[in-house]
Amino acid sequence: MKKIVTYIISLLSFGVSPKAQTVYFDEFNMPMDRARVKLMDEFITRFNGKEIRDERYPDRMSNILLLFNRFQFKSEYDSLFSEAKAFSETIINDSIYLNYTDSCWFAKAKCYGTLSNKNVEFFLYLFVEERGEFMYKWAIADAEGEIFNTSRSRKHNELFIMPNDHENSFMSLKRITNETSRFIDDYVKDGYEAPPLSVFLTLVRCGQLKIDYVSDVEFFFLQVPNYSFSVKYFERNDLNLGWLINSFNKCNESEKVNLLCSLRHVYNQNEDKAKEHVVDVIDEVNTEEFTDLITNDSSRFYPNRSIGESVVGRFCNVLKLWWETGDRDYQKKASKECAGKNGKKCEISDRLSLQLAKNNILPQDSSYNLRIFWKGLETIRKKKEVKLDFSNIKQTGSCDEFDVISCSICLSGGMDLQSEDIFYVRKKDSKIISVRSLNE
Amino acid sequence: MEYIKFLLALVLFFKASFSANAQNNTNKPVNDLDSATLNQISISVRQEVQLFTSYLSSIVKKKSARNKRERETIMYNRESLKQEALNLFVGKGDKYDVVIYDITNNNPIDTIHHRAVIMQTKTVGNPVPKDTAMAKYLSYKVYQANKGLITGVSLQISSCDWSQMSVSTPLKIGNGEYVMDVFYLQKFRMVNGDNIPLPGGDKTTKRVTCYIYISDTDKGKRFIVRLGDIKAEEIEKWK
Repeated sequence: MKKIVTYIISLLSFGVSPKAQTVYFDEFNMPMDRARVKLMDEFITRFNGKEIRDERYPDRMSNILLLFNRFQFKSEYDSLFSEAKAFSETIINDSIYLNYTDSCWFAKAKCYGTLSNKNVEFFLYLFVEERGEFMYKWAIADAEGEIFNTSRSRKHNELFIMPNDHENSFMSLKRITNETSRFIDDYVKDGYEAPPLSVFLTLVRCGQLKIDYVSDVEFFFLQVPNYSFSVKYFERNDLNLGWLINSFNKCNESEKVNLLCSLRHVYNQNEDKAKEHVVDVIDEVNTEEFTDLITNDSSRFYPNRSIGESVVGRFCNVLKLWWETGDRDYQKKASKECAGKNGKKCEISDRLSLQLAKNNILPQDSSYNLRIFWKGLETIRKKKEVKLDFSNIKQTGSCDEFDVISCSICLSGGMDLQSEDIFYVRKKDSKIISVRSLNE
Repeated sequence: MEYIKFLLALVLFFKASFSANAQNNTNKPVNDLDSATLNQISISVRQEVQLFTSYLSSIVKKKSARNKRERETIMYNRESLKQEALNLFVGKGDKYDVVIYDITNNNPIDTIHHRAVIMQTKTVGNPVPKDTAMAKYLSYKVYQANKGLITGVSLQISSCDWSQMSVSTPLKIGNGEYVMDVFYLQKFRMVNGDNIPLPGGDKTTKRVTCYIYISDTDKGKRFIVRLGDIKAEEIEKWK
């Protein structure tokens, strides 16, 4: 009897005490807090598979799918969800990892502020930048907003600097800033558009623009091949909360490079020179050897490199892979990096092609297109002892139309040839248009 | 058996080489700290944040006084707790100046006056956050508690649970100086004089910036953790 009473009391106590605890701590919803992706650092850790949400989802694939804002999918059978699965598979298959130090992710912060005591909204784009050994910082790369659109689409006929103003030391310049300051854009040369970031800096420096607070921060990642995705913070009463993938889009590599270049204003500095199609030789930058451009990854996206370097890097990689394997798919991939169908419009007149012509492997000509060039290469490739190597890919110049990339090509074993080649990469469509020898 | 061993070795070899390949994709490290130091930092930072929440909890806790002397003691204690809490912050939560030097000759050219450590609060239904200097925020809490403005009930701040804190990777900002963030959830709950929970309260998410100063001493590495700006966002309110 005593035993039964003890049993009943213990049973009751077990039934009551946890409930009391639950009442007291119910506001701390443990599963919810555990599921919450609290920091961006935590998002990156979960994305990389270094941390899992809970034991029920031990694999990386499930953890990546859990990082999606699930409210964008109507059901499990939604085509968007299938696309999300494909996206996750790409991440797993290509072993994609996110890193804080990557240069192909950026933040878009919505800023609320005042411009001359008027409430305004605008966006700032920020990138991670290295500032020393193991040290990084966020840097403003661009600004976007109506307040930065200073150039008017329509000018007023009444306002202009008089054609004779040069005779009186441009006296009217004083008037245009004092009397018609609101229409200052009317006096600017046709087609000029002030860079939004410059406008932002000027307004802040003059004390006219002040940021009151920042909200709606969104992070954009371009690391996944053929995809871009954005991450936003979601606060809701659900297990799907915190920093989550808000959207993901198909995006080819050249689009990514163009986006990054436009945001970072990489090659817009020498605008006037670029218009004259002058190629400036860049000595102070990109002098190091880009050994990282030579990898076995044929579809790699090079975040720290220019459009030209990325294209040439990929071209050399696939060429090397074709040389080693003989797989014609690599040949096709290499052709895709060149202008015209199958590289027909790519003009090759480098030392190697001239050597091939000398040995009657290629017909005597001043230049060849890639299609003809393949035939010559295939002949040498058959001699198995010949090895093909690329090294020292670096940008030596750039203009509005194309990037100029130098690359060392080495053929060893039976056919010794060392050539320093110059690749001209058209920026518009990221295609190699010409390959010439530097040491002709 | 030998054959199985060989196969196993082969599998392990491929696994190792693939993971090495994957590692090649990872980028440069964000700090120069070893895992033991990282672990120690993570513990120190959590302790510091917990200390702050416990100070705040003690400041706002309702205490009944039988006479004037007792009331004065309680008020004095609250003031000391506020000071202790401020000591946890960088520059003791006060304003500070940053001197700008000319990079060519290292001569000072300007001084920037920075605001004190701030407490940014955001309430449900109001998207505009409010910035308050930490000293002012704590003084207001002391004032509220002393005046008994939390009528009839006291405000209990449940100290944040160790497991509910999320700590980011420390990022190097200078020689021996690092910055990192701590995320935690905090519940403000109404309780009566007998500490019995009453309906009413709110839940907030908090992100604290932490500064870590590491120096090498004879006894090994010495850590100093200082708290920086706090971003508090009310996510739920109940009556």
